[in-house]
Amino acid sequence: MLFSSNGGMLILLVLCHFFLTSCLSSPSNGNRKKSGGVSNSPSSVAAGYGRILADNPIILSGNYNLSADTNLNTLLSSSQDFITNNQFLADECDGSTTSIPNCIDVRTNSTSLPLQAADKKWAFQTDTDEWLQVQTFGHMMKASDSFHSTLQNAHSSAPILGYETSLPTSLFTNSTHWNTAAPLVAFANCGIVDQAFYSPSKFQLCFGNDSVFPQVMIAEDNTVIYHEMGHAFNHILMNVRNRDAGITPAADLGQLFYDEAGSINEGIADLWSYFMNQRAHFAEWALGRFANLSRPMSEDDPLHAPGIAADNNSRLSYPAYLLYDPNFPDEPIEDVHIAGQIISHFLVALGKDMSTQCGWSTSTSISTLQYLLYETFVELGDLEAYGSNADKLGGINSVNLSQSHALTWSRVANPINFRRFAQVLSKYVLLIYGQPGRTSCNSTNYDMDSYEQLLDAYGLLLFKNYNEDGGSVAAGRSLSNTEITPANKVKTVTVSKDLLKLDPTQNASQAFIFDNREALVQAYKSLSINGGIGQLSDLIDDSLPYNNGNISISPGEFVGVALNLYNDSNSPMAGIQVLGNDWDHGNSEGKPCGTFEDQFPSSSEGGVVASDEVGVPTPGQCQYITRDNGDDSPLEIMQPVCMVQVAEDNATKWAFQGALQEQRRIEDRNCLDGVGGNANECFVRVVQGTDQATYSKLDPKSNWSDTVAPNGSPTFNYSNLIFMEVSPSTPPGTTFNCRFRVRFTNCEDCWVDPAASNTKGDDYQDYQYSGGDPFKIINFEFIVID
Amino acid sequence: MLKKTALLFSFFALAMAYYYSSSPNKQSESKKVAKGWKKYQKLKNKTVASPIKKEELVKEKLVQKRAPASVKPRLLPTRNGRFLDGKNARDYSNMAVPLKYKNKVSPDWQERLGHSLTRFHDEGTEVLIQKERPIIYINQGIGQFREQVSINFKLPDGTKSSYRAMVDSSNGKILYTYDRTKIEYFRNKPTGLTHPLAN
Repeated sequence: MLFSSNGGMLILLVLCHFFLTSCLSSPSNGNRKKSGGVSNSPSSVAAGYGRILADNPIILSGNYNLSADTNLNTLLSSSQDFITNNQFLADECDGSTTSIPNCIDVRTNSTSLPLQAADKKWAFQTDTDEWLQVQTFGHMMKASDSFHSTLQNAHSSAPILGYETSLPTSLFTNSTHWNTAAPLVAFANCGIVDQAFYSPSKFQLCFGNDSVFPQVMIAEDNTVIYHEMGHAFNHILMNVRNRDAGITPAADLGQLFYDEAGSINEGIADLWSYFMNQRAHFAEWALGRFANLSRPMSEDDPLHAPGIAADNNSRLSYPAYLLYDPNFPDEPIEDVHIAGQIISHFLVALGKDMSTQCGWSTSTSISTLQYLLYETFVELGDLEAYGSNADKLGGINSVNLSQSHALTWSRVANPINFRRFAQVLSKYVLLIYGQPGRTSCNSTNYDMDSYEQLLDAYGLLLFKNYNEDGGSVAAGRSLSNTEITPANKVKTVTVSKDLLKLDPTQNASQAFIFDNREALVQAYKSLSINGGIGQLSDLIDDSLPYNNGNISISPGEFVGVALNLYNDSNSPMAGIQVLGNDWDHGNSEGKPCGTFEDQFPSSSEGGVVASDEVGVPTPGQCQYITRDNGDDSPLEIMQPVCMVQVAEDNATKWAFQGALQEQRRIEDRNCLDGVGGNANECFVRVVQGTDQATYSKLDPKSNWSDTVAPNGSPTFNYSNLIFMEVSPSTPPGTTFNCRFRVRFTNCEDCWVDPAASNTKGDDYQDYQYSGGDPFKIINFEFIVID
Repeated sequence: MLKKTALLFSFFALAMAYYYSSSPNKQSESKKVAKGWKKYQKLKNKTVASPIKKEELVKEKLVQKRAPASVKPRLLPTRNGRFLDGKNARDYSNMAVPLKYKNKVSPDWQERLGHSLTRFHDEGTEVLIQKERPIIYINQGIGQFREQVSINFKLPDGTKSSYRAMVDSSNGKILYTYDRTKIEYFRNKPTGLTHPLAN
């Protein structure tokens, strides 16, 4: 790029610059005192070695009020840390049988050249950018070594133990245990304030600095480095089977600003800090000291509020503590990092329980937790939809419905939540350690009763059996699953879906409509830069001129809709999900089905009712739910959620929107989906990518506003809303009904099929999430007004 | 003293580097353009498309200066130079196996995508789109032309973000997005929408 005929000279000049400056340290955080501490100079270490902080500055100093100006040299150990034998700050990831060359690479920022040490000595003063890079690299390599060695052990253990593993046989021979297209690059001082992040698309980590105390670099806190590495590991694991199968590695753990998958991602990322230093608290320096945001991972942490303790009656249980921030215990906060604490606390407690019961060291129990998480994430992320090697051999789609629809299932129809995560993780606890015949726990098997009681103490014993047979049509109802012991379910609370409804209190709105122009432009911009929303129809003008802010839905508007859901039970509901995606609620003739539990629309309202269909349900009928999301038969058509009222035979009836288009003779080009598009999305449609809304929790006898802002008015996150667009051609006065399906994680009858034949409380089979049975149907009816 | 000498020399070296790299040379100019990348910028309320120079990608952290030493890449099935994805996709790498398509590749899919992504955004917003993999996605024995792209936003206030998207080759419509960034906020978490009845 830079060089043509003069290239040689230029290379020479740059190399000279590089050579002369590589041994000079450039200060990164110049406010700090310079004197004292270990003399961390190249002459003080052997080749390949340097010095990094063994833990974060708070822990090393023992001073929770440590000054931002502290000379970190004083916290270095006199012993040396192995960094790398390479001349550059990059190295391979090792497994015992394979290695990934140039696997991890650290620089100061995107414009800096790689740090070079001709003598391979990596010791620098702690106030330099060079040291910060070495610190970042050293801890990344430690985490990487742990990840790869335990993954290697897990992979070799699985065939010996003979259970149905999710780890592909060719995991290491195909190098699908890493993203091999590029190294994982970290920028130790990336120049962004108050943030650290993992970017999967660029395979990069960024560590910024504190805005109030700019001399405090986030990478000084090794626990934050482990946390971000944890995100990278989670992402890699979710896509192991996808890479192995050669399909697009598009599985994510968490899709929205708030969802339970994202909470699990954060909880496990925190846990990587525990894995690395065996200390159950995260980020005392970078987050805790300067922003009061550090996070504990064990109930015996002094930061916790009174009443929380490490006994089975006082655990950080779900969903009671879903919004609990130990730094601000009186302020409910809907945030993935906060909710993820329940998962990190549970897993730390599980490790301790295994150590106690099985006589294992802490490091053995940590390796065990890693093993269990590897199996769990590799199965859950499988977009080929097999979940295990055995099921792939047998052609059985045990997870995520089918390869054609796996992404929809993992994202919307059956996404990872606390229940699903707990159930799959528990399956591997059972298969690897708990089933009779296992001997790794003090020469016997791990006590599953004790395990279930611990899970229950966290409110996570949300399933009735371990669902070893998965969710496939072919094998998902084998009735051979191991059931939990019902007596172990004491603290876990499940609630009937019937008790989730629109707010019935007098004068309560059934939904909140957001149509303010500036706010919606801002919402679209925020969502689009993060990939959270698809493109709007060309019929919607860029300046949103029709958006009038009158809290109603009008032609030409782009609006956000938040259902005003209400928990009519005496127990909390959590993980509430509103689905606005297409589903199987019409018959082959395009008539809406009135055959679900709400029996709407009735026959006189234009619906197909049960008596219209006789005999065993067949494809195309309302009582037959598509087995492959519409691909199993040309008679099975997935319909958008919003129906419309049309005049027919001197009566008003419900129909899909194509009927109104035909009746009003609206040209295709005036429909939202354009020429050749879906006529049933002609007037009103949910915008692609925003087809679900989530709410963390509903307190008993409360709506969401009461729950998250008991003393005021809440701020809605974009994940609380479903976004819709309305064609300017929509006739004013037209009535629509959007049949949203809702459910929640601790739901008694949203996950377990109550059919009489299901004697063992098996989960719904995956295909059933195309229909209405696992959901409460909420009819959101509105009139489009001018 | 050594430090001063080094800095002086560095300044000289970099000045020389700049001189040589910026001297007119048609051949090197053409080499500077990053293949597969395109920039879409909102200017005067219109979207302006332009090629991207490789230097710019390095500056924006979008490519590494040093190419990674790679593990032997897996051989993925292809057809007509496009990667095959979807159920039993490998079967269609054999050109003797007929394949019908539900769409056609439009030559302007990337333009349409770029224009749609800059909609609603402020003056000066830049969207950098990289074509990563052309794909034929197989479902039920029917092929669909798709493009795997990486999308990189740079807002006028300096905010950056990136993710991947799978795009319909016939019209530039995003089919789904993935690989979205996981952020640990230390202060200033993103805001949402105030309650519509709050005022």
